[in-house]
Amino acid sequence: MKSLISIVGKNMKIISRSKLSTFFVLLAPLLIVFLVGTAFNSNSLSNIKLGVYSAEYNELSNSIVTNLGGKQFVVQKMNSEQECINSVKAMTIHACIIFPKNMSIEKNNESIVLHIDNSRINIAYILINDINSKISEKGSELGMSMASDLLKALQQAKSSLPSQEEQINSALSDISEIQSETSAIASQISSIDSAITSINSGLSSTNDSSVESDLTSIKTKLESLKLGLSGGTSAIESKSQSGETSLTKVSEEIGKLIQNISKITISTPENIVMPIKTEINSISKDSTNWKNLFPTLTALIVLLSSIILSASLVLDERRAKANFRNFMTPTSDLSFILGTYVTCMIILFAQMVLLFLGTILLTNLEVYSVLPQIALILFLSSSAFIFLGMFIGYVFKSDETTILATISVASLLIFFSNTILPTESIAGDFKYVAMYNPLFITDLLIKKTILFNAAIQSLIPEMLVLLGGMLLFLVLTLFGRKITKRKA
Amino acid sequence: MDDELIQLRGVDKRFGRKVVLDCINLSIPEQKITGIIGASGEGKTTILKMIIGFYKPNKGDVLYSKRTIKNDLKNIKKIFGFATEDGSFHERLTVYENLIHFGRLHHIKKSEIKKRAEKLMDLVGLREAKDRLARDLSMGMKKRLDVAISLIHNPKVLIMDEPTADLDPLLRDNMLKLIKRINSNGTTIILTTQLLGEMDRICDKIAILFERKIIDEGEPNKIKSKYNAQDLDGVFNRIFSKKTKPEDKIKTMERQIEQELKEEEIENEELD
Repeated sequence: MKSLISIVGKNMKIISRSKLSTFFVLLAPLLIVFLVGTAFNSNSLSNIKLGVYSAEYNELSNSIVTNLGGKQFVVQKMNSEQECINSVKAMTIHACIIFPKNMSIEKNNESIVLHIDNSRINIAYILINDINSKISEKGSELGMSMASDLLKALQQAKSSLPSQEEQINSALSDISEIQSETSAIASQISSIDSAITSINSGLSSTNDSSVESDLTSIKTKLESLKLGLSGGTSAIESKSQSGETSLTKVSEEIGKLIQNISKITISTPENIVMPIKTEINSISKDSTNWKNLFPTLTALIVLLSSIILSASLVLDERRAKANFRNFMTPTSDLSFILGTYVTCMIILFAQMVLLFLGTILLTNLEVYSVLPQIALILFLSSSAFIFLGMFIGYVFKSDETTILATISVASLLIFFSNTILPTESIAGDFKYVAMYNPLFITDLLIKKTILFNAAIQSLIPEMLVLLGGMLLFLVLTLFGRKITKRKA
Repeated sequence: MDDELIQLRGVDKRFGRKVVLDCINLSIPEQKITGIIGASGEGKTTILKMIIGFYKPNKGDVLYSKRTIKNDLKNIKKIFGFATEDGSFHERLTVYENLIHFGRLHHIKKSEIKKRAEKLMDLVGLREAKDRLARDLSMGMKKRLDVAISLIHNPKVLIMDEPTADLDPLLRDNMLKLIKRINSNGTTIILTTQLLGEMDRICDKIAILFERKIIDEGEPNKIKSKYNAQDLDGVFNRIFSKKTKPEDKIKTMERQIEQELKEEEIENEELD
């Protein structure tokens, strides 16, 4: 124990006596994180250069181009489609949008074509999404206007149809009255018949030629009247019947129309253009971009500080003139390993205190309730990374190979975590290997803890994996020291 | 033969395919000063590092008090002190801090370490430089610091690799006096140097390493009379000229340089 304390004390004195190394060891990683955190504390892309081309711009295409311009996109009109595509290839612009000649909403087969460089996988889909949403804004605007006209017409029909129906009904009742009047007239015709019969009997009984002539004239007139009335009433009857049939049909159709229109409950244009609405709710309450970034940044600091610091401390120890004398002492290998480990832990602890204090003060991040969980996660993950770095330091001798190996291992861990690309995009079985990546687990655990206040019990399976990694790297470190300690 | 503390019996050492030591037989008497003479690159340091168990022999055995050291490395570390040619200490610790640190690594009690550190600083004449960083010391002071650190655990045997190399005549003289003083306390000393006049002055026994073998060993006077030489330089010249023709001398020198480079190369390869 005394030798362990002495080794740690010696390491701390050596580090503290070099101002530059103290600065780099303690403050540089934090500085990087704050710079990165501040620089990337934004949810959207900015200053994206878009090239646009149309063989002939019109009001519609120009309005979309205007809509695209703004804070996020810098729009540049190109002279040809090919120039636009070539600019994407040359990476002078991020994406190229081709508008149809004299673009019109009436032509259904026309579409806006987006040319994008898919090799820029980290922003390609964000770009597609952002451009699509900007173009959709104009589409929605147009759709809303059309839907609004449609709804207006429908509303007008809805309000005017009942009065039309009433008028038809009144016309039908008029027809019905006409028909009854016609029937009355038809019944009147039989009284003409009886009058004619009376005239006939009068003619047979009278000898007076003048009376006879008058009666005959009346009879003729009556017969002519009867004929005229009979013809008229039957024509009226027939016309009124066909009119009644037609109006009844129209009335029925209007009735159906009114019924159908009343079934339409959509009252606003938005309901037609966007019948299904989506609402995005973040499950982490009061989540800011910095808060979302913080777990990943913390995991990265732990990884980089631990692995670089431990590897360089071991390398320094091995290259130091004093290393041979270390062999000459009865102090065990484990003590030397633990000495370096504790030194790294002290420095990391100081870094973490600074990081969390700075973050709490600057961003009001609330971590007090989860501090024990955070401390345990950071202890396990930094231990695993420190032993990994020490193993690298023991296995490689020269500065160049050690730095190269450290960078390679750190990069591998970063690529196989969620830091740069989602692990879901990793192919095949590598995906499952990535699940055991200490960086991936650290990131996951810190996120669960800081963003969702996860209880310590729910973190145990991942913590056990970290513990396993830590023990594995400790064994490797012991092995590495064993095989290389005589090669100082 | 009863006073023999350390024995090397038929020891071979190879680095890769290169044979560095070939069937070395050597006895180190207790409480005496033994010097190993040899040209640069002959393997003197390798012999010293095998005695303390840093290198393992490919063949043969190294014995301490008639017991093989490879099975007793932990105890051997308590018995031996080793002052290296370049100095083996922490450059960014002070003289005092270095002594305390290595004392603790030897599991000595804190109060005892302090006493020993004070005593050793007086012995090697570094009292004035107590709080100076090791990297700021002169070459002579660094050598003395290394000796002091090597003695912090009161070793029975002190091994010194080229203790007078890179020192001016005055500092060399001081170092030789220091070695004598340490030996006068009963510490067995094994040293190597290329300055044979010094060996003549302080060594009780001389071993001559030539072409990977110990070709002679004994008291300096006996060795000198055996080779009919006035001093050890004369002995060395006779061995060198007798055994080799002039053209071979050049070849031997070339071989030595080549061997030195290869030794370094092999070590580097093994490490990488």
